[in-house]
Amino acid sequence: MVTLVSSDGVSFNVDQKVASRSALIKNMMEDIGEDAGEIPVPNVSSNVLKKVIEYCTYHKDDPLPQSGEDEGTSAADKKKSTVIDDWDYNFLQVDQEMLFEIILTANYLDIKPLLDVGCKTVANMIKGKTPEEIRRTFNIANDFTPEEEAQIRRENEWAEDR
Amino acid sequence: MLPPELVELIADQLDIRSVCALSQSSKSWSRVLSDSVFRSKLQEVCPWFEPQFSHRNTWRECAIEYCRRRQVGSKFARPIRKVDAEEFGRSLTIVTRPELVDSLKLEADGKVFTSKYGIRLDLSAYSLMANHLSIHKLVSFPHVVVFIFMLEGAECHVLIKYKGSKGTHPDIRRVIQASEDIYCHVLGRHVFLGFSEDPYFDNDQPGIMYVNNGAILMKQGHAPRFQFTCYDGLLLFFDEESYTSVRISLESITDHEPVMEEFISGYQFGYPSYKVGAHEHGYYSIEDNFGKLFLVDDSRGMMVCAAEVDCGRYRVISDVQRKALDEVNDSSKQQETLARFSARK
Repeated sequence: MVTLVSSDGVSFNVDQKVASRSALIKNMMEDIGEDAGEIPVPNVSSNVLKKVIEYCTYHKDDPLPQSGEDEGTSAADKKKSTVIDDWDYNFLQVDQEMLFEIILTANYLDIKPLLDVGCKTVANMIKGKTPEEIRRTFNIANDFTPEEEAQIRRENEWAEDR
Repeated sequence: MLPPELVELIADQLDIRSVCALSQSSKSWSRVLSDSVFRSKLQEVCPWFEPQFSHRNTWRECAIEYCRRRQVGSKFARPIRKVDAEEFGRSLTIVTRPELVDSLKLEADGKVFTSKYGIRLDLSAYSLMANHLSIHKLVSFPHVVVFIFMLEGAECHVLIKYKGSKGTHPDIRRVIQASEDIYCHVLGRHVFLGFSEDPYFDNDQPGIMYVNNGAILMKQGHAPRFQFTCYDGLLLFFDEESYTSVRISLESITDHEPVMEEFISGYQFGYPSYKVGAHEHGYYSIEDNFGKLFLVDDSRGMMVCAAEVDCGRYRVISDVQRKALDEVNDSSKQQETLARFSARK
């Protein structure tokens, strides 16, 4: 067992096997040895860390991704892998802030499969949408100034006299 | 908001249209999408659309323009119109470029060809000593040499070698079925060929090939002319009194047929006179109905139309931005452009 401590001081006891889904923590445990004790995760709040541990627990028996795999990933592999499996899909049905937090944490803790599936989920939310539809999806405001708006309109139309 | 490197991972999963829409959805998304994202997206579908061969200044603008053209009813090329000389403030003399045609000079071993700009190309695989080689074109630029020849009157070989690439083997090599008339258009590191397929092989229909990845962009009668230029990511063709722009991309090859848009030009290019030969001199000369001579420079993918105002001096009449004009006329800028190409290789 190893104890992960979130930024807001909440401790989570997790199996070493679960914790080592994170390449960062795995390396730490290897460096420190068996009695790792408490590992602080200073950038991650408890509600996000809980989510990420849930993911790692579910996937604890998956084969670990080979290091350096991302270098050799071909376009065909990328295409093939746009499918998200059901559990992951449901797991990532969270609000946008949480989704981004999960992606950031996956990146920080170096959990590549989670990072991948997180990015894919965001991409699926964007794919094929207009700017207005994207704003609605992410619930974001159109914060362009009127001048910038006019500029975007020009980009979309075609400025005769540019 | 996510940091740019993670946004890049998301953009990897998106097509160019979604990335453009995303950048127009809010300031924060717009900020985190770096220009290199647009560049890589654009290069998947239209690698010859580059800011330096367009009216646009950034990869983002190029990508958005590319997407705009996919919309129904969007105009995709600007009409040529008369531009008041005042707009440019001065007359311009179009500097004709150095002779592009090279001659086949082999080194002492008889195997390696050296272009006049010093690019070396190994030709030993093509039994040059035999008499059955006919050279179609040998086009030398400081940054690239394009060598087109036919072996035993059957296969047409295209070899491309860039300056600064390693070794003496060609960087790109293609074998095409083509009859004699081959038009070569070089736009930076992008090489296009206009050719007829072998009449015994197929109908005698022209085709246009993007040599860099071997894609046939147009075929079977879509291509209105052999002579074309490429600008703003479009293929452009001159006609007697109009010009045609063709929206074309690598995705269009499987998706749909190329879409054309014709403009009647403000100037009546009544009877195109003898074509000076775009490969040799880098411009066409066109005579209008009143015997006035025009130069059309398409050599660098830009359409610069100029009317002769007096002997050897031409005033630019097309609406090319001053930036582009300066680039045509400013040889130091040309060097800079070429240096960028070699750096990229």
